[in-house]
Amino acid sequence: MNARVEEHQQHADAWFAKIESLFKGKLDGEKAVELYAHVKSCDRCEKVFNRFATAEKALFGEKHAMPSFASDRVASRLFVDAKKPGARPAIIGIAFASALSLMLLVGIVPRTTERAEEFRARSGSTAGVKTDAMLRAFAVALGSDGELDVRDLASSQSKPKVGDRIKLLYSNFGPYSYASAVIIDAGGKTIARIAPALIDRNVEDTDLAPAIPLPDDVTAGPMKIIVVFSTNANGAAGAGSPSEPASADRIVRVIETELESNSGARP
Amino acid sequence: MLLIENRALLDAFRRGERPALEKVYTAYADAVAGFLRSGFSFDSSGRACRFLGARSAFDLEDRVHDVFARAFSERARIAYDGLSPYRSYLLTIARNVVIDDFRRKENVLVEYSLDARPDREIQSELRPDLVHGGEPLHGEVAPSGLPQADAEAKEVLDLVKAFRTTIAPREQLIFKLRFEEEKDHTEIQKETGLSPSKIKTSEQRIRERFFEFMHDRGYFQGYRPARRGWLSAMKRWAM
Repeated sequence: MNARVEEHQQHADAWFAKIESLFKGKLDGEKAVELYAHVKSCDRCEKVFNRFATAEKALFGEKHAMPSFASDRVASRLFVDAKKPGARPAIIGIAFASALSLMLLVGIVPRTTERAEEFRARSGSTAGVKTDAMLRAFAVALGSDGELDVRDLASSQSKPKVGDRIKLLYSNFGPYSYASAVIIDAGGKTIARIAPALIDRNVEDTDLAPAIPLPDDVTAGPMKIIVVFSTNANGAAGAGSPSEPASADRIVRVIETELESNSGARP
Repeated sequence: MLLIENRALLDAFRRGERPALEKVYTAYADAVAGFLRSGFSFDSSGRACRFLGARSAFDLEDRVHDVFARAFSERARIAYDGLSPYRSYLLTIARNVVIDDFRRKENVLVEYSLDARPDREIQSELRPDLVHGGEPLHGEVAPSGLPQADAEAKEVLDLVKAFRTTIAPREQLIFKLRFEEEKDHTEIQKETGLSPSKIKTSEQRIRERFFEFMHDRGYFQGYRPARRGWLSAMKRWAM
């Protein structure tokens, strides 16, 4: 490649990426100040900056002379000195990052990818299609010592007890925008039902709903937590059948567990 | 009237306390931006000159920053009498910042005309929402008289429309409330029951996806977005 073209491209890659970070709200403080100083003296970068600003304004289309994101950028630059408490936090940050890196290298801290794999393994059955939506369930109770007792129901050792609350977390990297849930006991009785609700996409371990109480009159024995993820509210409406085949716009996740009577003392 | 009516705020402002400065900035940033967008006439060495207004989004942000940086200096804070409207005081600073800039660039008359034109200052005072022609805004293009600029603006709008169809329903709702109806986080929280952090996360996600969407459609030509991941980082480090 021509050296001049390569130089141009390197310049573009370095500074344009910073401009993009700024517009994504990921660049502030000293780095933003440095970027503005450069853009002020660089026609190429100013053009790119303005292109981002035009796109931003076209999307968010605020009526004000100073759109709110632009105003935030100016404020971030204006108050940069006030944000600078000194070098100490940076040193602490570097020290922490170094320690963490070392721990990752020697395997003290589990890597994120490993955790993700573990998470997938814990998820319920998926009716034979590749799924991007996953579910976790926890039994939550207040222990006799006043401490919160949280048990992951993915473990065969952990079982919910009558009177516990069930906390559901979901991860959604698929096209699903809604989820509904139903919990049934050994007698087929519906313990709880969550109507189709909007859910986040591209998120991990996010609350599905407030913790669901398991009332005292439910039958101990096998219990199923069934969650339907779907692309529309109607698709998530019928959450009753775990054997129902999944389709492209709807998927069923099931966690099977054993509900224990609450006769003994809690651990 | 913010500082005149609130003496405690005025005292904090004069002491340079950050929360007070932020409050003043939030209250007046739009007025300063409107003033700088529209331009104004002034005299310099006996010549009638005109500042034609900030030439671009970057220029506007940069000038607004310079005005507040000067207005928030200790000297300017102490010099404000606390009796006259702060807005007028601030717009005078804005005017002086521009005139100082003009004097520095006097030999490069790019943004200025030496012809005295009808004063648009009044218009800028009355119409802070004034937008430059040719800018795509609110799904419409204000004609600029430049066919190429209008065509580019139309292209941006088409891309924005296409992007809007890709937003998830929950984010659509937040987008509508936040940017179309211009509601603040507290109001949105009341309407949707979503926590402020979830609203902020949704806003952030919309921004990020939008710029990635525009990239994918070739809007930012000539720029290779940085590849993420440890392998790329190692390669960059090794190069």
